[in-house]
Amino acid sequence: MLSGHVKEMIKALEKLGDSDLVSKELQQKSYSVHILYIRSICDLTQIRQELIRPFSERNTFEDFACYIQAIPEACILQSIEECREKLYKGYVVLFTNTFIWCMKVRVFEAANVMHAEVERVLQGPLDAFTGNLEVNINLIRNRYNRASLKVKNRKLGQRVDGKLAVIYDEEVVKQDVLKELEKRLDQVQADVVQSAGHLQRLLSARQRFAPFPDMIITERPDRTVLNLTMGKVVLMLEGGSFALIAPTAFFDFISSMDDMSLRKPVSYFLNLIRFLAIFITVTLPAFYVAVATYNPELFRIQLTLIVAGTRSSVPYPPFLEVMFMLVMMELLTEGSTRLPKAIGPAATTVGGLILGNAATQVGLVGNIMISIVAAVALSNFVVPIGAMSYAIRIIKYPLLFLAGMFGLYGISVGLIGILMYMVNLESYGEPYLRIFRWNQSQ
Amino acid sequence: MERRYIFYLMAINQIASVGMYVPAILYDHRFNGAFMSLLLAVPIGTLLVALYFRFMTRLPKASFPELLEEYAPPWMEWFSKITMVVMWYWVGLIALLSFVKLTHRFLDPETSEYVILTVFLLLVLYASQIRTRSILMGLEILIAINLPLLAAFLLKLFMEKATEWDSAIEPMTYLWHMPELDSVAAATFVFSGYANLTIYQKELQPSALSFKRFWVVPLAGFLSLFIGYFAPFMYHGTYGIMNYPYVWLATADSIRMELFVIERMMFIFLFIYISISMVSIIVHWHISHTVTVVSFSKVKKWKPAWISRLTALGFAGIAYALIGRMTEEGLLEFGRYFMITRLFTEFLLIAFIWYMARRRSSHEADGAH
Repeated sequence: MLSGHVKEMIKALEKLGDSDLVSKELQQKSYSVHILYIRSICDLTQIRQELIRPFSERNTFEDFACYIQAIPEACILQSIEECREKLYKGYVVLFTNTFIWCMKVRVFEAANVMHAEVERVLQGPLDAFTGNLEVNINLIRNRYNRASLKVKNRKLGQRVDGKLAVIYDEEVVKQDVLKELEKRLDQVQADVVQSAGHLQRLLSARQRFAPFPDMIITERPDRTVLNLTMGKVVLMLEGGSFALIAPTAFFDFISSMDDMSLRKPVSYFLNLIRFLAIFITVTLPAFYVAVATYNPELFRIQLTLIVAGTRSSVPYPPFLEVMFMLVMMELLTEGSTRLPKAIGPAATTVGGLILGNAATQVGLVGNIMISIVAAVALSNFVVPIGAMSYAIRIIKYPLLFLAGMFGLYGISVGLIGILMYMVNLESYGEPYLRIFRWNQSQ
Repeated sequence: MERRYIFYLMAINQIASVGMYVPAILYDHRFNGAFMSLLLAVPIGTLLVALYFRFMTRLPKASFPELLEEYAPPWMEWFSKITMVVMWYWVGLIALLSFVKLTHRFLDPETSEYVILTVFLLLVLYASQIRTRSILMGLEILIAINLPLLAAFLLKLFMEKATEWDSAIEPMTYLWHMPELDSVAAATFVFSGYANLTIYQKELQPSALSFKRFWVVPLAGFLSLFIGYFAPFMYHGTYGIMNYPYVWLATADSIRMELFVIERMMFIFLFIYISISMVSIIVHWHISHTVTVVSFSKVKKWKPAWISRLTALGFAGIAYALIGRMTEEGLLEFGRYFMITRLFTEFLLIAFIWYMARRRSSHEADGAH
């Protein structure tokens, strides 16, 4: 039997409270030992073969002690802090009455997982989350092996039995955010939750009609780990393949993981390009409509004449012309995302080349309109995270309507309105849009 | 560095002063004391700002209405609250109406003024009801977008070849004239951004109010007044300046950008103008709206959401009632009355804060005994 002192130490370690912490007492006829390990980063076969089987074959404690002390990558631990540290580095810790022993059984699943498909980077880690929650936690724990990282499994709402892991660094996490998130998780009412995006929608019931996502959905372990170090909370759903990160601000959606591995001037430049792209994709159609309908005097005369010239054959107002082409472009984008890979290129060719070319030749739309729609579509692809890309695709339409009805000042009012709306949004109590921190201490 | 929000609040008044008829009122007195009132306004305005910060740091962190409830007698509390609602609504209203008139004249003559007013009202009424902190963050972003544009605009303004610098110097020779009340009042407007802190200071740390680099206040105020008043003379001359209802718009429209997509500087100016005007209306009406809602929910047990809606309705109603009756000259007079009233209420504001600060320190002295 283990002595009381040892049991206290084990209890203290069990208090860490991670869902993937395994604590098990092994019984033999004449003695017993206790093992502790973090399931998600340990090689379970190795534990079974090198620890549990030899244990069951040795009848006396002396025999077993001789065996384990002979294992090369093992060592003896002195304090409970050491145990804590070793646990999170992928060691199995073994308690006996006379000593504490540990052995490295860490496994890193990076070799077995798929490459990131949705958020690609040029240089940087390539692996992506999988459908298996254990593997995903392994990927996170291996990148961030600190004892303060907490992984807690929980049920979702009342009816759903799906497994959900709440992951955060307890030293830096904002407690308000965590509490708010737990509260919302309790209130979730759904029969099944199958994807991270679905979960996000269920959680942000309060800002139901906001097009802007208030959590990042990512498939990249490195982005997840980066956000964990910043004190954010990560949710992972069994079978989800994506992690949800809260709270997030607008600018988190603009950064790509590539920015971390590039030189500063380059990443600043790329960020600038992304902002430019967002500005173009949101305002360009609106500006075209406003200028062609209300204020042709905005541009210099040559440009105005070009616009007027290409529009000479178009039988309806600029607003309809833009709407017509934008709808076509949306159809094309939607069509080619959902199509099988084999037919995709055909659809793009038919849509892009034939429709665009023919429409201008017939005179349904002006040539300049084709350039504008192409610029708008291209700029929209620059936004690195899909959910934000969708939001930005939508918000150009209110601006377009305002431009069609009121012209230039309509656009300005619309832009200021969107800005004021966005600064008023919150993501789990944190402001959504701000360019500088509120004060330095935050 | 929350102190930066104080600068933003002061900066919008300085930039928006162009739309608040500050140059226009000064031009009326360009031969009798405009320059002198401009010079007088700098010490007066700086003094008001300095006194505000001096007295306010002696009071705990709270908005002005909350301080009134705590330290002031009821008559002072209600007088101040009503004055606050009226004055901050008034300042926003002038900017709004003048902007509607301007839009109607320059951008969209075919649309009715009522429709244009509706568009602006929808934005302003929505945005003035959002959280105080959100407004400050929005203000910061708009300032950050507009400052580079403004810098480019000013650079081009002074680089333009077809200008006559002598015409800008000529009005300076009319220095020794007695200043008139309205021109002094108008000129001090560029300093009165600090008064917005009465509500917004609640969001800031008390340490933000203890001002470092105070010299920025008179310098920025003086520069904005100086440029705002003298620069258009270079383009239009001492007499020609009276030919335009919107002098600065005419000035901006005199600048050409030969090598840019947009040829007329007027549109850049209009963009700066519209965003600064809108955000200044939002900032001001937020104060008026907040004070109304807070005070009303003390008196009547109505739901705050309903009071808020009714207030917004009232704000819109007055704007609709006035837009059809006001001509551009009428608005200028309206602005002139506002400026004079504002100067006196500012003195009152400082006096009340001084009274409360004294009352608090005497309370504390009593408590110590």
